[in-house]
Amino acid sequence: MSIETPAVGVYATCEAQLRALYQIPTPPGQAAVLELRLGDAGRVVDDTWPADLVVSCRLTDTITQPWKPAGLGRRVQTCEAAYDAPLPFAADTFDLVILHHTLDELASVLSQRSSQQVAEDCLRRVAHVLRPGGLVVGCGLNRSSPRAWCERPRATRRVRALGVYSCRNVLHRSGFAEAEVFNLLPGLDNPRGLSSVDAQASRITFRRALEASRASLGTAGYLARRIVVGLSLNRFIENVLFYWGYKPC
Amino acid sequence: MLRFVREALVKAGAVSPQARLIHNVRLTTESTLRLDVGDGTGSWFHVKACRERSLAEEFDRFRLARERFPAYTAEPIAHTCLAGWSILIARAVEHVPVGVSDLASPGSSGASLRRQLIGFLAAAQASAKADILRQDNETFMREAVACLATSPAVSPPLRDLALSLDPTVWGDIPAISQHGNLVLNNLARAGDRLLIFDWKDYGVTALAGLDICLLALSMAGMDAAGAAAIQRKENPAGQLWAFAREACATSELPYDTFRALVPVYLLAFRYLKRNCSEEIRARLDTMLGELLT
Repeated sequence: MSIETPAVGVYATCEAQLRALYQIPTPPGQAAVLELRLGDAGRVVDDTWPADLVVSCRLTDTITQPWKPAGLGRRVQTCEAAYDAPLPFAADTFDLVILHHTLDELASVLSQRSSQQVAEDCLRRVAHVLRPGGLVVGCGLNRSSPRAWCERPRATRRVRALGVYSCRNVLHRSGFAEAEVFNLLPGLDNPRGLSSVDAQASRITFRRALEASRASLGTAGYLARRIVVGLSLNRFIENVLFYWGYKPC
Repeated sequence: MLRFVREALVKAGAVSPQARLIHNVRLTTESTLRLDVGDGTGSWFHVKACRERSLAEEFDRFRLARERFPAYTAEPIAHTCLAGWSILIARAVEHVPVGVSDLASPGSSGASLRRQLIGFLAAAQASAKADILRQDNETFMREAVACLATSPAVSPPLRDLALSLDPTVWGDIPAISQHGNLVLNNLARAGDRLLIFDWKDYGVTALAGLDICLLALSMAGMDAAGAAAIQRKENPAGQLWAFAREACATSELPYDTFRALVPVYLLAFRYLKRNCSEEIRARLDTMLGELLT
């Protein structure tokens, strides 16, 4: 007789879903992870993240907690670094760098420069501290999304973020290979999937979603959405992009 | 994890080692990752990956289903284990979901889907004669009752129902290997072709009528009111689950017997779902509890 053993819902909470998505491209045996953030607390890694070294580094204009290499004996560490200066870590230190909304938040702070320039500079600094074969993974607002326009900072008139094409281009220009860009679905509150911004892959995802909701749509609404899906426009409308790229060996 | 998926696809001969892969990824509520992987030349593969349990048995059942129902299933390609991940690969078929309105539609496309559905049940019935591996109904129900009657996770009314069932009830039910989770979510259309997904419970039970009951119930709303309506209506003509009468005839199951067995089918389904998430089990317990009161 089988015993009732409920499956562990490892993807049950928003946090677990987010962590799972960040771990999808991660190579096995990750030794050192860095999360760069602008907020007070990290939103992806914590002391349960499976790595030998976990560093949560806040980017700021006034550094009160500098990086102390002597603390490398500790598994989980926090520190601060300047917005626009080289990262305070030795070259080739990390296997994975996480940029959860870091690039668009940084672009809002450094508003004199274009979002692409801010992202490219930041990614170059990230590439420097990544080991060959290491990975940068992150997410940010989608510049072309009408919903991202609603979420833009009040002080700025433009969305300080990358778009579907510029995201991949910036990753390549910063020296990353095998870059992939996705729409994060359905949103940050319940991140359950990634849909590639490749036109054909995007059509597959959104056609399926459209047909699943067809019963709740009128004919005109369905046909309009069908055209949007057929032209692969959903990838420009969804408000969050997820991306990754590998530092070449 | 994606490296293992690539390795598994290359090992299965599905893609070349140099292929630039495109991914769509989905997390399920049951600790499984589902990926649609494109090789850039128009070929797509459906990959299921899980670290919490092995998908080897599911792959075997999927292959058996493909042998028996090639027109209704995608092509399973390989199962492999890499670094603690169990990875199942199938050839993807571009499809759209089937909704209640599609299957109940009076038009030609609805008629075509229903005809194919009956065709699937007929093929299942035909394969039963030669199916020496099929599960014995008495053994299955004895295990189900014993499990549900003793499990602390099962609600008291459901436990009482399990204990009060007359074992002779299922003695005369035809034995036909069942899909085990034939709900609308697992049906799709590829052009005019009806596709059936999720064969992980295929053949676990041979309680004829279970698949018809689950599909009828998911069309009626997957709730206690729907189950009660299926039980109550002597003739399903004009109802969303109108297909059920012809489907029962195909399975050589009298429709009145089918209606009377609805609580048994739900009990069997609850047993099949004993290892699913708490949310699914609670939903089934609520439905059965409401049906019994």
